[in-house]
Amino acid sequence: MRAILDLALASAWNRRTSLALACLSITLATALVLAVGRMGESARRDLSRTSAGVDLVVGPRGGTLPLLLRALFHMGEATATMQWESHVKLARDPRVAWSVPLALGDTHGGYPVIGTTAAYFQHMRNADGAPLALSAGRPFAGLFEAVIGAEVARRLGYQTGTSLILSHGSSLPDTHDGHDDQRTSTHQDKPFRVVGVLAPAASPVDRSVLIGLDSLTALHLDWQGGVPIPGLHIPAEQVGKFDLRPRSLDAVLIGLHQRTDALRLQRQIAEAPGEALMAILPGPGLDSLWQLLGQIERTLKALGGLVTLVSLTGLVAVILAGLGERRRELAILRAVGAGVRHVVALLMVEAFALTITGLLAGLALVEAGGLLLTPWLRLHYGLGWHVGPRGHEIALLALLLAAGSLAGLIPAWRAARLSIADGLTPRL
Amino acid sequence: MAISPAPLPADRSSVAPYHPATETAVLIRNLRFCWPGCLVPAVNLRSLELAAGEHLFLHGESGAGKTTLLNLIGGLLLAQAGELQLFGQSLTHLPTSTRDALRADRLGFVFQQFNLLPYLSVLDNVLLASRFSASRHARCIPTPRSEAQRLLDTLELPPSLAARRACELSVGQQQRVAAARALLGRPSLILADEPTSSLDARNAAQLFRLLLDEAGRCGAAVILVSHDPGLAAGFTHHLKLPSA
Repeated sequence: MRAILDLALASAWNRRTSLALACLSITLATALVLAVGRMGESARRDLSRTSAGVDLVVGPRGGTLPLLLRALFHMGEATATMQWESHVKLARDPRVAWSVPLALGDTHGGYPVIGTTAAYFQHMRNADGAPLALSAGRPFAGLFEAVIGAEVARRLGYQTGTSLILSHGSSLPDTHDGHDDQRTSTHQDKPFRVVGVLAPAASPVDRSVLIGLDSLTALHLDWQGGVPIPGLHIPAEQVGKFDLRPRSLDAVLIGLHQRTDALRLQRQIAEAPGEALMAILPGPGLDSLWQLLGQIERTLKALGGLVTLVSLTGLVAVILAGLGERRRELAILRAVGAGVRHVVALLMVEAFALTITGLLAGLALVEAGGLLLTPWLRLHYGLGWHVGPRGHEIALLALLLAAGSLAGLIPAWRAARLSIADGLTPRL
Repeated sequence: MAISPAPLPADRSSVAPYHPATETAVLIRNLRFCWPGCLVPAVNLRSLELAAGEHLFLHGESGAGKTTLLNLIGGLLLAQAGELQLFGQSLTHLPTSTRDALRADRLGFVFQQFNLLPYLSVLDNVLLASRFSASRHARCIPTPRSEAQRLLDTLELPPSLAARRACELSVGQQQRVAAARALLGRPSLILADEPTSSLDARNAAQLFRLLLDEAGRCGAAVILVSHDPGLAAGFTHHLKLPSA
């Protein structure tokens, strides 16, 4: 066996360029498969942490998913709202530790504007489970002050002190171009000032503009039913004279003293007389959302599988193509007494060594990427993956190793069938 | 030693009785071989017997089947009909692995060209002969390495070449390395297929003499194929294959 290993090494070194390319394709395929898997896991974890610390999401009675999307991801249209008074009543419940009211509807540059209170900054968390942090400035305190998410700041090039104008409703970015809608659908008369920029959180808050609920009410004092009231205009300086308590909310996020109270409170809210409300536990809700998104992950995994198949086919192709060149080499070995099993071992050892080298290099690539690239990716794209192989990855690598070694059987089988004399005859 | 080329077509009814003896290196009776898809047999030999240590000069015109016969005797090809024994063992009835082991233990090949693995050193190419057989390895006294060096020396190859890669050598040097490999570990039978055809007359004669001398020293039988009858002088036995 020692003789075979020495020969395999010397022979492989002689063909190092083509073998290195085959090995590289396995490396890249492995890295792709692992990175896709890890990014999926990371996305799933980030998704589940979107609700970190939130025990209940309360909103107008309706579909679970729309409420979840609206409260945690700031997406979708509100079909109903809840009254401010209902939030006040909830917040007074002794089991409730904290509550964060949310009112949505306006946008800026395509990013959702969230009307909330300063409690948002105390209780919301980023994808790593740490409290939200500001990279610049401070939370909003007064009227017409805004805090923007990291992606908003980066994409739009905003910083503290930048003035911004909100649009009413969900207008898409860059669509308000000279159209008559411009005057009627923007809040041009009441510009906001950026007072704080959030650090990247790898959560939907990165793509949000946060303002106080009182500012939101002030914006809409002279509006009704989604349009400005004709003939009525209240200048920004005078809004302070009005009652700026919010008229309606989209959702309330609630943290409890004891999580065990969640189910009982959920039932009470559902059965309470008065306004038709409902409460949902974010965990199971997010799980069903992931089921929905899982299709994308499965597609990516299938693609990764195909890429792996292609690279294994490439390995077989390289070894098979090399077999043509190696006819004479193998024939000489047979002539000096090497058996079929030696030739098969020679080719299998090569396939095995190439596969394991490619797999380990791919793993190393992903680990290095996790260490070096992920901090940057997370900062800019909210993407990334964990470091260190997981159990199911080891199983996958073992499977690929077995597949690669078995792929070596194809050329080995062909080589075993070649007659020895055939390899010794010079061919045109 | 009894040699008689078979008449064409082969007369299969006249199978002579034979008595396998350990001192018989090669025994052939009514051997027929056809290339796939070819109706005319490439080899059709009624009888051949070569005792251990004897040297046979096998000649004939191009296409007479000399190389094919040599490959049959070496077990690189398998005949469709007839009997072929090496050292009393019937090659046609041996399993492939035993045939391979027999080749590793007792045979030495020198081909017309392309004998060496280009990526191995000269010394490693010679040592290949001892890699696949424990008994061949054990017969290299005191060690395969020193025996290989001695053979390279005997075949008048400069010692400085031993560490060079085989592909850096001239054709004449490569043939000497191939001869050294065939002789390593005292084989019982050396099969040489026009080993000197690509050499000039002086080099050819010298390699010839060295190969036969060394084979005689270790008691190996030799079958040498050549189309050049002028080389036949040093041989005790001759066989001319008729043209097909």
